[in-house]
Amino acid sequence: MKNKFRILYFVLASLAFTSCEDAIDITQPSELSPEDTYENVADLELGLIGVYGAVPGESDIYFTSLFTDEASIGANNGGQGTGGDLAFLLNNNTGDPATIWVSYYSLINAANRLIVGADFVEVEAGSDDEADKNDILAQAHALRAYGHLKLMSYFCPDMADDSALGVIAIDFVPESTAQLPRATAGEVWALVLSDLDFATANITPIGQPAGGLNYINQYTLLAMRARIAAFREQYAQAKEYVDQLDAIPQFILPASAAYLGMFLDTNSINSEAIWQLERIPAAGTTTGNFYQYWASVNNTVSGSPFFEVGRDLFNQYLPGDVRRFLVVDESAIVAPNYSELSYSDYLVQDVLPVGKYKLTEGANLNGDLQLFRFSEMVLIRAEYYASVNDYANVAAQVNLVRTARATTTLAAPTTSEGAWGMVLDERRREFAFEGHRYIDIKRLGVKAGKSVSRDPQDCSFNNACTLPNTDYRWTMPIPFEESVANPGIVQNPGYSN
Amino acid sequence: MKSKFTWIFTLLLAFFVQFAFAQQKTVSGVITDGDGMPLPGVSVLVKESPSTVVVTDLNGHYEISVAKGQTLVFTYVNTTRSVEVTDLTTYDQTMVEELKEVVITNYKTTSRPLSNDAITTVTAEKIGGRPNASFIQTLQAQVPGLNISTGSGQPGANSTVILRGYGSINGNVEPLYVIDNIPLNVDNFRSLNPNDIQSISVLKDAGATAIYGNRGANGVIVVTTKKGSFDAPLKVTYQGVTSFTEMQNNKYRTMNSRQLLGLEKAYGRGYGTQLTDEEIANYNTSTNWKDELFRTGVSQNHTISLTSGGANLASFTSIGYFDQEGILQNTGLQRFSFRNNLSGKSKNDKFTYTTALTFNYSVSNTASRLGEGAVNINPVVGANNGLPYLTPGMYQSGAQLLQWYQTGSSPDETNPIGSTGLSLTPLLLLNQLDTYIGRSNEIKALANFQGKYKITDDLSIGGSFGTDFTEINGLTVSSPASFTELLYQVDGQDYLGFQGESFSRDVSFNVNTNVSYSKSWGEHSLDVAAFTEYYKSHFKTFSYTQNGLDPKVFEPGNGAGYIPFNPATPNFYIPSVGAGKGSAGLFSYFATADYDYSQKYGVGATVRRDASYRFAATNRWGTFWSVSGRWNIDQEDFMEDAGFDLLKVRASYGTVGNQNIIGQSIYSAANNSRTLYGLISPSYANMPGYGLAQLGNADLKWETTKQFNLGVEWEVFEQRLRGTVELYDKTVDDLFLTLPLSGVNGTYGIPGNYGSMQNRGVELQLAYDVLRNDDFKLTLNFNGSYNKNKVLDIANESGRVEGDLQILAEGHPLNEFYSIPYAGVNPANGNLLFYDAEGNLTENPNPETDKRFTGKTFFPKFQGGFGFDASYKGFFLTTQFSYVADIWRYDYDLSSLQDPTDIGVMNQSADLLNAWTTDNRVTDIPALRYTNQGTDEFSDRYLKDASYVRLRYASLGYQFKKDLLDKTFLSGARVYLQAENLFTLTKWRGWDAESNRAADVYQYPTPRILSVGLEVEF
Repeated sequence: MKNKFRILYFVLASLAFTSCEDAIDITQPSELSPEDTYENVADLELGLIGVYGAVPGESDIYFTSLFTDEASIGANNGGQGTGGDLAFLLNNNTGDPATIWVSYYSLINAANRLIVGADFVEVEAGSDDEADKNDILAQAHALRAYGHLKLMSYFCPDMADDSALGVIAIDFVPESTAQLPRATAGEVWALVLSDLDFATANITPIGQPAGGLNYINQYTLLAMRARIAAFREQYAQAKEYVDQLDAIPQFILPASAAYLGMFLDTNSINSEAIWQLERIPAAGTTTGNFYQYWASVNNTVSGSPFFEVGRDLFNQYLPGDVRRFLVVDESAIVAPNYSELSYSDYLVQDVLPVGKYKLTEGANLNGDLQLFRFSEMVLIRAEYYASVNDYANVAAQVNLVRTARATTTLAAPTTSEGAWGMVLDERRREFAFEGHRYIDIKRLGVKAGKSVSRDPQDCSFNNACTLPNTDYRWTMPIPFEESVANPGIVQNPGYSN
Repeated sequence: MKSKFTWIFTLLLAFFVQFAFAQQKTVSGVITDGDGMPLPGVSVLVKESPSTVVVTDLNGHYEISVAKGQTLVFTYVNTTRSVEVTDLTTYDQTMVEELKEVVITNYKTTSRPLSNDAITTVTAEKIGGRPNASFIQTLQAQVPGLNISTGSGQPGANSTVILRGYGSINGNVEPLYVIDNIPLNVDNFRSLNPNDIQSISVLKDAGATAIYGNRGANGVIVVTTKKGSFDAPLKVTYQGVTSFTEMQNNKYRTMNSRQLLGLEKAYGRGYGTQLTDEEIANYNTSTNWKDELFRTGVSQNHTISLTSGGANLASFTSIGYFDQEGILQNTGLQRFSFRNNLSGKSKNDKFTYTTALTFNYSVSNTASRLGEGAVNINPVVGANNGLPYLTPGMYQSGAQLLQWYQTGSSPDETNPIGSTGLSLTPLLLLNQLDTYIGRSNEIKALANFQGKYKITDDLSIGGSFGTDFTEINGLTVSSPASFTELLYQVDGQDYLGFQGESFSRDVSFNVNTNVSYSKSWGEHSLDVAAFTEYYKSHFKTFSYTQNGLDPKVFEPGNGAGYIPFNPATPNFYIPSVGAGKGSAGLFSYFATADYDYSQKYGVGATVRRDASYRFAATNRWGTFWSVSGRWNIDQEDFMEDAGFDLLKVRASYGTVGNQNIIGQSIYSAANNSRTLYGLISPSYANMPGYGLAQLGNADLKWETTKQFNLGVEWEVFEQRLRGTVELYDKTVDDLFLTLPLSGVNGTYGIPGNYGSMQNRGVELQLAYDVLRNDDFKLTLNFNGSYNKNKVLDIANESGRVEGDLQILAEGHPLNEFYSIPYAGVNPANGNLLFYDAEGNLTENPNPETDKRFTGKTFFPKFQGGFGFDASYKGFFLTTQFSYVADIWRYDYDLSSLQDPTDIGVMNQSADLLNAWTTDNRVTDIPALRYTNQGTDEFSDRYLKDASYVRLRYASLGYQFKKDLLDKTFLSGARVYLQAENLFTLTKWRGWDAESNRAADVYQYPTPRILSVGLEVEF
């Protein structure tokens, strides 16, 4: 008997002692170390897809639509947005700046990691692999530039002043504990332009865009340069880039059907789009990337819109303007006497659901994001003419867009303010719900003498009808989350900490 | 002292007289408790032959073979007594005289006077027979310092269990649960039968928990299940309880139809605007949606247990069936449970072993999206806010509702209530009840083997091997006929609905080996033991969801009716699939030593080395230790006439580690010390891509709790008054907190260690025997605790981490509410008023600058329980009140009922009838059209006092006297009525004052339960 128990004991004891390491030295399944990730060019291609996956867009569009005058309370609003963006609430605790800040740095971080990872992949000089690798690196640099560009547009108080506070310029993979200061605007632009130069030199040569519109190509680089130049108010340069793009036969302002097709995702070729983010609904779903943004079911009047198109914006579109029932869904219920209705009747009798991101690819509230369109280039050229007080040409450029959108042409402005106002207003109509309006008011609001313009009905519930174009909130605050980890970072003017 | 001796003498005399002439080899007796009630489950053993053990039956009766001159030791979990066997054959005992608790942990068993540790034990009689699905709920208010809050009426729902305040911020905050030597990963007890439990010990101080070093930082709850006895005849016990569960009341004053229609008319929105005053006055339909979506649930609980024992083998077997209907329609829990515990020994008593095996199967039906304002899915939304002028009869089908919702009129009749949209909420929820299934089937098995071999009288070796097996199969079905599916239908999508099934399996193994040495010489005794412990666990999951079901052939849980993928129907019918697996492990070695001198002085020490799989090799090992000591003052000569039956002072200091970085799961944050890439799928345009999956923190290490504890235990007035007081000071260092990172990393934080936090408190437990006559017994009991939590150090410059309404700040309690003070309604215009940072009134506060510390948190500063146990002849009455005080939570259910923008769409509280008007300027309800809406978002307007006193439990019953049962086959019988949550005194207006959340909206409230029970033994 005794022996039996002893054996039993030793079995237990040996089990415990011999397998100590087995209990504490555990590698979980599928752990992929950074060193093992990039071994060949095919891996880098997957890495590039990963960087594209980090390009944000929807959250910018949502914030812009609510904080400015694009969206208003909808018929089925259950309290969404009333306490925040619609009331111009923006401080270092607000979620939007925190999201935008980290999402673009996430993109930059992903690009930097791919660029570093590419060092481990050796290719034969002159081989196809080398060309592919260079193209991948070029796109990664361009995506890094795009990340910095977007951050500058939200967080730099004055993009045209190279000595202004910029953002953190980062072309390396930081230590996780890094505490980096904001560079000057000039330093950030220098990094952005050097990235674009690298991209221009190494990207697959001009021809048919290699990956279609969904990826960065030579034209995207030109468009990005044009926007940057405009943001920096280096308009002559901006016009040069626009002219170069204009010279490419592919880019036109197409007829209405093709214009609508761009947003309905039905075109085989989008002659106006320069770079779009492809959005495909997930398997088995019937709702897309804008689900729960402005409506909870679909973009029709019965689709539970909790935000609708602001009445003041809707009033900007003349009947016949192809954009009128693109921005607003065709199912809209339009009450011509809306301004005389009680607020509660107005909510249910004048229903203008957001129509830009609708049923595409079998999913409601789905849409590709148009990051750069040719019409933006045309209107950048209009900005150039406004900057040199050439009012006739301002009108000519704006009317190019208006004609393509099947609406009336406008007479030439007579003052500088009128010229900038004309550009700003057309940009409002043209890029509604595309995430431009906040930056446009910041850049052009003072010059145009215009700011947020909400219909009295839409702001009757909170009296937040406009925000002066000189308000500090046209530059976002450095989010609290950043200053906690990076206490030396300088806050933008107007914010308390 | 004199009367004490008289008392004992009287008892002995009684034995003598009654049983003097029944001298036999087998002795017997009846054990009663302090109330004179028979005590079942007392183990009786022969000291000289410890393997001879029997257990008393329901009547407290036992029989045991014993030789003259040997000593009988009676052990109830709370109490031990011993008697030397003389020529008598009957040895009755009353166990109340000495509350010498036996303190049971996995590693040692000590009588209470000789224990150095802060441990509270609750026994079977306070746990069994109650209609709670989980024994944790039953434990509420029974242990000082142990806060249990459930916050869900879902039968079997997990509770949040906090011992001595929150001991971590991001890491695990709950105690370690050990059932029959098996440490459990999560507090999921819905499948375990509380009636099988013999005792629950709550280990509080470092002296007690250091031995559980790797997982004991938040205390340890040790559960022991019932065992059989050697040399005992077969006993069969049946316990049956039938219960009725119903909603508790709320004080929201929800409107009836007439009130609401009148309000709508006055406000100018909703059906009321279409009616005349007279029509409203005569409006007779008024639905209380609470009654339509909730119900009185009927529950039953049956347990049959068998105990028997031979010379070398004893067994306890129980089978149970439990079926509890939730008060929310379609929710409930069904459970089948089986347990078999065996004890065996060798003939020479040198080898002893026990096995414990339990196998359980439970089916839980749950509601979806609780706590969210999902108007088509969460039934509580309808119960709280459904329009009373809608009737259940208005609902026919999902298709009918869709037409009504989209076009404004029902197919068969024009819109009966003149409204549509979200106002249809309660009807949508009736459809949800018809078309949604949320079910999970769980198999839970615990198996443990424990053996001990005595090499010499002093030296033993032992070991245990335990496994915890949990398998859960989930089923989620949304029928093709559901309103929600129809609502989201897209052109070309001919088949709707989905079925999702999930599988998860979690298996853990725990192996402990030990060697122990015990020696007594003269007045000295010494116990030394060394242990190793190995723990390893594995999980596996997979799941799929099929979209598109053919309604004709589809049955929930079956795959017939699945529509195949077709390239022509974009991606409607593509199933989604997922799978996961992982492992976790711990390894430890440790030693304990205890020394006693003359049962007056004792010291103990524990040291323990632990390794966790979670940390990088450099930080993997942690060392934890404790020292403890006691002084049994009552044993001193100078105390002989001081009137103390027990007076003991004890103290301990030590450290315990926590390695559960995020929450309770042993698997979460498994490899956060490493930076990892991964395949992100889909990444862009539905294509997979590589990218950063996790930013590592190689410096992650153990979170360490240091605790000092001082305890005093006493018994005075002939042991009528018994008490324990504990003082503790607990500091947690290297807190698991999100380490703030600059956004340039693509994230604002990773799990890390920084900061420290303190909990200081005092606990008191008292019991007093008011009456202890032969017939009439009455004992009062009280327990209470005070805990003060303070964040000591936040390692960033500002010393604070600010949330929307809560803040983590140095010098303040964890997650203190931090908000703008609400000042009331402006009599001038009916707007909301607040105080700004300077204390001035404002209608437009600035959330950036005007928030203030409130000193309020959702964890109570004071909490505990009190009650009495009374018995008169066979009748008994037990009450148990629970209370929490200085606890605050946001009541968003109330805010949803005081929201004028929802008039016409949702029901409101009659409070709105008192809204500000030019004629009613002094009121706490703003004007219906107040113009500074949204300004209260960051205010304390809905931060409400959630303190309460609740009659948590009451039981009234009758224990049949043995002579009444003589002519039946029964040897014992008991009937009783019980009530849980019978009434609550509170300022909280909601359904349920108890919750484990900082804010409540649309949650499943805990019910009131009335039950009838029967217990028989034969």
